[in-house]
Amino acid sequence: MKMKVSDIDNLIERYFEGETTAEDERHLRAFFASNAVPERLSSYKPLFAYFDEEIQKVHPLRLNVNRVWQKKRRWLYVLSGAAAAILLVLFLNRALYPSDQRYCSDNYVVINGRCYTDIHTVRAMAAEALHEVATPVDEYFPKTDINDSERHVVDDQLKELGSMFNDNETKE
Amino acid sequence: MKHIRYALLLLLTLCFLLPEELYATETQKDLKIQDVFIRYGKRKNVTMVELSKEMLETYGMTLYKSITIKNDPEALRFTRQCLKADQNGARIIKEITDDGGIVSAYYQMPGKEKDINRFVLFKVNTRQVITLVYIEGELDSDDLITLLFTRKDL
Repeated sequence: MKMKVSDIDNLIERYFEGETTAEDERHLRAFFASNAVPERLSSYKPLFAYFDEEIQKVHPLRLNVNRVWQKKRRWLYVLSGAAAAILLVLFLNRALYPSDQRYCSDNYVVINGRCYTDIHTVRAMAAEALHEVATPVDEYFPKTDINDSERHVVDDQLKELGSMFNDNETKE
Repeated sequence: MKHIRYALLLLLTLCFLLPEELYATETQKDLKIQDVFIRYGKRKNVTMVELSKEMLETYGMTLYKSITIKNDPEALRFTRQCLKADQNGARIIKEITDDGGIVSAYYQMPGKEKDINRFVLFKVNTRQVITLVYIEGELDSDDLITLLFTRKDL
């Protein structure tokens, strides 16, 4: 932006009164660095040239410091983002697939989502499940689904399996 | 400075969370059927039991877990999938299938520790009630069969 000499006079006056902003001072320095400085203001030229030079010296340092901070900040953002992402994954994982936690004690039974720790109930329920898996195959097949001959086949196969299993055990 | 504090706070939280997550992974063991307990354990029409060491010493068990699920075809499909996945390397003591689906099975799973046997027992009855049992302990398959067929109470 090209400035009028009258504006410059005004700025210089404000400058020495200490009322100029950083922007105003930048304009002043730019003006005195140019070739458009009138003779009557040329006495200020070395002064603003000096300020300009000093600022140029300080600025690169400040820029470097800023760059280092920016880099650090970027890393912090990346780290914070990564940590937040891990936390989110852990949270979602826990919410969707809760860990194999012991619900209320070392020995418990959960019925319809409610936990009971009464040991008699726990034992009874455990025994019930064990008895259920132990019930023979003919108690699985409904009577209408299978006739006697088929049941014999299944029983024979089971017996055979059992004997194979016993053989393996003795070999071991 | 604020960001550093936030990052430290997050990392600290992670440090508190991670061991539990690792522990959770460890206790989930290497079996897919554990997912059945985790997924359905707290649902309606489900009974899940867990007994540990002291209560089971007499039977040579260290861990007993069972789950009974009523009227849930999706759970049956999922349980069968898990059993299929766990069959690899397992010793099949008994397996009965109906229409291609397992209806009753006893498996001995490869042990993680010496002298510790692991068994998976499964049955689905005519009323579509699924029963899945996981047993861990020093007992061998003979002991298990005896326990199953003498109908002792735990």
